[in-house]
Amino acid sequence: MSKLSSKNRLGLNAKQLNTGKQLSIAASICLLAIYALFNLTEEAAKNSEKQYLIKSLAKVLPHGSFDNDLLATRQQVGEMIVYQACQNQQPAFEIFEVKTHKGYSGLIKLLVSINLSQQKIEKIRPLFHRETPGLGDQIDVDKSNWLQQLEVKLSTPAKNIAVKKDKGKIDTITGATITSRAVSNLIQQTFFAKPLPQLPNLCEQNL
Amino acid sequence: MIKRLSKLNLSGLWKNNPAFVQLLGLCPLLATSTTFVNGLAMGLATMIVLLLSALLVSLFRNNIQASVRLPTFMLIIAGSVTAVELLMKAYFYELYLALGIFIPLIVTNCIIIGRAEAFSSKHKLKDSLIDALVMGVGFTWVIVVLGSIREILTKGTLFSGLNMLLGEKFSETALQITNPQTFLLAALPAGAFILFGLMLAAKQWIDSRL
Repeated sequence: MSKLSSKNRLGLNAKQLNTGKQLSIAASICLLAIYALFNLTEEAAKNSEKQYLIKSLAKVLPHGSFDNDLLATRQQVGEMIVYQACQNQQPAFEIFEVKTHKGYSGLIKLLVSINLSQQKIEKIRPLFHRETPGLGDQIDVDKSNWLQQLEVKLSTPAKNIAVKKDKGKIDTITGATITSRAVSNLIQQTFFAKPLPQLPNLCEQNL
Repeated sequence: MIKRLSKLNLSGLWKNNPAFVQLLGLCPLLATSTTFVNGLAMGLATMIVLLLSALLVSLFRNNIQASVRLPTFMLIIAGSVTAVELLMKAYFYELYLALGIFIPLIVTNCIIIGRAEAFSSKHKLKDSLIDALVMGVGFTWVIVVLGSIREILTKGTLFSGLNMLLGEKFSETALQITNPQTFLLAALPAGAFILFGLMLAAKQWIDSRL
């Protein structure tokens, strides 16, 4: 420290070095604090996410229609995640978590429950979206009942599951064609363009 | 001393309101004031960040070199915001989903760096905390009023979604004020801008009468 003005190998003088030192100390302290907080809250965050998923899953199923732990039946099928709702060790509903990136603001995730005995879509609920408030967010069930027209039998011809502009039978949300089209196409491609995937029965092992 | 404190208090709430007079933090103000609850949550989150950054900036104000004070303030603010985001994700998950991108964007809210630079870096801890609290309350009440107006205009309700903030007991507290008819403009940021302009005009009108 005796040669304050002399430069070191990097060509920095003492004052500049000191500045750098201060910033790196501040950055390290911030990083450490956040790392600690992240670890402290990680458990609670995972738990909240899980609670939200359980709540959302229950919303797409008729009340009291299953007797198992839905999360234990989680299966990854390609891009989708499937849960089975069981009654007497037989799957009564399958819940598909499907997603598309073609929403007006990108990602839309939906939960779709399939009534296996009646071969129809029981209920559709959005799990995640960032569509425009007042327009695209009409896919939220508490804001409009637009999604209900997609809750049809799986035997419906695939060409019908499309917005009217695409020669289908689905009404468009006014001012939100892109959102309507993204959701309709997602449902069509997952459930109507090809047969449902045959899944192993996970109900028995979960008792 | 008492006089100075009361001057601080009053100025942040009305005369020198961060949103109304300094016109700071308009991006989150307009974007997240869609409902009463969203506005309240955003206001509270901003207030917590203000308090945290005021605390840290004021505590270390004599150790921070003048030449790197702004980067250091930014580090402190970004750290506080990340902390708030982590806590929200852990304990208010649905609100975290509803406010989305705007929580991390509190970092860029000029109110916070503005108060850190103009006030906390030059004043004692106690005064800085009072200033942060007053500015936070000033910002919060404006965003809550704007959120309430927009909620009434777009959904016809008030206080919907309180359960996201206070738990399941409050899931039926929404007041139905008018018929649920969507006044679309009020739901969009453009409508928020117009309503905010009207609020500013109302403030000017009131001030001219005082």
